[in-house]
Amino acid sequence: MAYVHGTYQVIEDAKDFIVGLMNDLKTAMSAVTPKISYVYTGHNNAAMELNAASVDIISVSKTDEGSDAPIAPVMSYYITLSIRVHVNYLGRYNDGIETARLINSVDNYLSTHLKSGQYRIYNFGDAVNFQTFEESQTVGGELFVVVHRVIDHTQA
Amino acid sequence: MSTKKTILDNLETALRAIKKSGGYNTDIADVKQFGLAMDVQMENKPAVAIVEMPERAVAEDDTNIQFVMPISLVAIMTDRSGLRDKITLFVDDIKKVVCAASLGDNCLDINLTGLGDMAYTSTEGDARVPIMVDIRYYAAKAGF
Repeated sequence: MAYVHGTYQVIEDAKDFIVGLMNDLKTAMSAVTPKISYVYTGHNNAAMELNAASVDIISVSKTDEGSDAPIAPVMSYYITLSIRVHVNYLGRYNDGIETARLINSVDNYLSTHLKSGQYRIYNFGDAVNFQTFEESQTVGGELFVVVHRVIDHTQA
Repeated sequence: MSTKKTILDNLETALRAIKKSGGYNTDIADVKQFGLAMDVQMENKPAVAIVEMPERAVAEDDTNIQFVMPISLVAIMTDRSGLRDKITLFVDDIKKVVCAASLGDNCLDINLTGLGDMAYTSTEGDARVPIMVDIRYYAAKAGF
């Protein structure tokens, strides 16, 4: 079943790129305390077990890179994704140090795994601590990454 | 099968473990579940009444709903000798169980939220302290 019209599913694929990295990180940091034990593919989760990370799509922007655009435009896509680390449930201890350590682990891992296939991490946004996440009823921290991909759209 | 009922049964089992031989201050005599606070009557004491209160659906995704189920655990003790000290120790025993309880796969969290006033009942001849906890759990939409 097709989930989008057309050839490319660039927005969701960018998320899957980061989810794949987070799953690799989960395996790589199994001996670390605190560690991420679960990775979820969306922020909206009613059954989230902790400590967890979740990845979701925030926004996408695109720029025209082709010299002969717009007749045969080559487009750069910049997809902003949010990575959340969840350390406790709403109403419980919002451990800023534990959150900061998890964010630090995520940052270290992503910074050394910037590229996979046609996707690369183009930029890192701010990381914020002491967040409350309504969608999963949890507390923790959040950081933002921008993923870049170039697509040469065949014209109809 | 009921996810909620399983969690409450697991809580009852955990509370029944309050014994001096297990490092607690009290030998518990009984634990029972009640739907209404006004129904709480216990023959054997010290006892804990697990009283359900209105639960809330707090989050939802494509397959699950997350609930917060507030519970009042009523500590009941009838020993007139040194009653105040004994019920304080009994309440601490219950808090200790609550903070360590594992209530099954669907239970995400159990959170001690507060304690109510101690009440002495002349008709029953006992002292009661309500201990408020929030149980956070999820159930599949396909069946509760």
